[in-house]
Amino acid sequence: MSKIQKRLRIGFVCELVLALAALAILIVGAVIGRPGLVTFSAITVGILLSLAICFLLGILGKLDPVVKWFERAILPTLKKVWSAFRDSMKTLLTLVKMQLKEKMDMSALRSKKKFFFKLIWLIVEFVLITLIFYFLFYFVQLLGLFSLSRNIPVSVISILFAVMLLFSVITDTVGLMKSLYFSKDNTVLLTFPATPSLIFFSKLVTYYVYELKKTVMFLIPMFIGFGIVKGYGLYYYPWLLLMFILVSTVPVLISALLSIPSMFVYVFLNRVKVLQYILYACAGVGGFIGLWLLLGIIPKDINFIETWGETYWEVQAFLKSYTENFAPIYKFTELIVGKSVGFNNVVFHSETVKSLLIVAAIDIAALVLCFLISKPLFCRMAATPFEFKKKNSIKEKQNKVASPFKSALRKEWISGLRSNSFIKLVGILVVVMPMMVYLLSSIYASMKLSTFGKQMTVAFTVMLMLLLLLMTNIEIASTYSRDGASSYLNKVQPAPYALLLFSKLFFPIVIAFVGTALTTLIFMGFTYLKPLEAMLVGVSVFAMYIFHIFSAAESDIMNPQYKRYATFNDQASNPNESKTALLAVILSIVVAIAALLLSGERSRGVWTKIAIVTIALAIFKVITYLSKIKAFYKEKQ
Amino acid sequence: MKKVMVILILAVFIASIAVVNFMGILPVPKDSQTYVTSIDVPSVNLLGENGREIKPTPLGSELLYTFDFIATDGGDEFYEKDDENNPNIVTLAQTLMVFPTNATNKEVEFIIDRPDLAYYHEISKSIIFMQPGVITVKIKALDGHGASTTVTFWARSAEDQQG
Repeated sequence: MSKIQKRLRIGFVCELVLALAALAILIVGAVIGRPGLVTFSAITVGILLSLAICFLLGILGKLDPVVKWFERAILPTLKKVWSAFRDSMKTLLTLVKMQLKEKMDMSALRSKKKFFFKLIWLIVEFVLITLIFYFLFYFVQLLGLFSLSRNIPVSVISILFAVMLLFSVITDTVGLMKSLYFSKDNTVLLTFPATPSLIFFSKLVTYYVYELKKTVMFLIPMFIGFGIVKGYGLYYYPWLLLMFILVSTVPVLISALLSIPSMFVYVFLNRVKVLQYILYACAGVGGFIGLWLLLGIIPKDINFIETWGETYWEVQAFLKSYTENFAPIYKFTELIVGKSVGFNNVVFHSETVKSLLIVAAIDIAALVLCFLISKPLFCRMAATPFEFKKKNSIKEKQNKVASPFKSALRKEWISGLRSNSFIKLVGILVVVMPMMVYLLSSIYASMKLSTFGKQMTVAFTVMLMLLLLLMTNIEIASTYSRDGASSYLNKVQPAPYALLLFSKLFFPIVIAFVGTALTTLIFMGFTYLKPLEAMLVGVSVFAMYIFHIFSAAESDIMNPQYKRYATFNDQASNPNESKTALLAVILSIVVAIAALLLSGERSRGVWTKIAIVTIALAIFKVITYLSKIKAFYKEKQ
Repeated sequence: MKKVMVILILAVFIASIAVVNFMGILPVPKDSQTYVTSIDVPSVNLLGENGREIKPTPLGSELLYTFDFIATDGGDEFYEKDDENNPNIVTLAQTLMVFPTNATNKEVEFIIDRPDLAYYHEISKSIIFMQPGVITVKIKALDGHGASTTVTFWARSAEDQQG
């Protein structure tokens, strides 16, 4: 028996066995009444039997003329295509690896020990997030917030999923716009022995991997927590993983398409600065109108327990309107988690295959559109030398001699205005923060609260202020590294390092001070605390901000990431930023809990004590920041 | 990371309203009224089967009443206000018990989670099923103290009955 004959026989037997197994599943599906399972297994049986027949024809020698024709006419072309495809994939892999190395922290791959610890940490992180979601869904189910039968409707997780997808599309659009059309590495990548299509595709794949990473650490734990609470079968979990491999492509491809109009808007707004400021002003006015409208709909007496009868139906009406108005995203969620039929959760239902095909079709259509529209634009943008983009219309001015610190401040002021970072900071801290506190305090004011309730309002206000303030410090953790290749300039200037480095923190601190003062004044108008105590709350919050901003700056000095920003600029994932964000959350929670526990009616002077402790912490951090600049800054590369 | 922070801030904002409202509201002072403390439904009657009594089976911490849904001759579902022809009527008029028996206000309200499947008939204190399926009914005292009980009904479709 020839080798081919042997293989054909093995293939025939395998296909037949698999077809029989699929047939058995089909019969089981028909008996228990699962139309989805029946359709799926019927398709599988059809494919497997067709393959088995092909193998049988091969064994009987009926396919010999076809095989000969195939070997003569098709096989050489196929070999060529396969070889080209393999080479392309190799190049693609290299390009993706290269870009991922810049975008993600891959230092753990260098040593086994580091990799092991990183893996353990990732698993712990994953389990913790899953547990948080599990308990969240468990309590929602226990309290029967969304269903009288203590069930969680699919629409609830669908809303969360939709919000996350929307956030992903927004952030991915901005990220892809910068990566595809404005990234510094494009010109370098185009010099590589790879086609422009492959480079463009590698950019999309890099973003897809990045999106997948975010999905694994947030969306998958959320769906696992949901699945455990709802008591899904074991098959739900591998299905979930499979689905998210597909689902993660959707925001990336949609963002790639959206990045084109965004790029034009971005370029246009950058050219016409006035329009940009008008837009910011419009956003501010819109925010105030929104706040005014929201304040108008706050009921006079908010009591969820007393009015739960009516509120419950309002929630139900909202969920119903969501499923009707956002049917595509609801169906998309049903593809992942299935449907509730009677008391059972059915993952595979009659619409599974249909929804799967629709998602695949959307993906393919978006990918084709990307190649037809985005790719030519990407090639044009990447191939245009940046040296000729700028029109030189700079007026020459007489140089004025100023002190090094004043010069550094002036430089920061100009670059802050040009990059709009000050406007963003003012928007968050001087506009959004006071507005949020005003809205929250107005809502609290319409509740008849106990002493504990009033204490909670102070704690939550402090927490919200701290989260907003400290969130803005995440970028400070890379403020020096962002200088990239030009970071050495600070080290060669004839001025003390501390002054030059502090200049980068000066304006954020001033803006944060104005924002905190304004918010404290608003808080003072609502709280049960005495004016002096409310002022001390503001002082404590600002002192924590000082502590945190100097911690963030210090982490960038001690562990600079210059290389990371030399190519990718602000798209790089920076470990200092992650640590700063984590510290922001921890500090906010700790201070809020301290405020809640210590601010009882009987404890006098507690806010003075908290203010003293936080000021001491801030001073301590400023001292360590200055001493570390003195001791380490020059040597750190 | 920033996206997570924005979500966290929004979550804290919304959650703080709910937490303060659930845990920090000033309790309403007590008065001399006797309030309903519990509501019990030991059984229900099925009007379509000459008032046959249905006993519940436990479903977790709640009670489940199961009966077979009788479809129309054409096999279609029933419509609201078509009570005369609909045999799928479950009544609680005789069996609903409110404790303590000397409660000042014994009035209760019925809240059905699936108004598309069934509706409550005020006068006959009955639940009328238009379609087969599972519904949960919350029976809540109207004295403002929030005593309530939840019962679940399963009107089994022809396929459920065969299975």
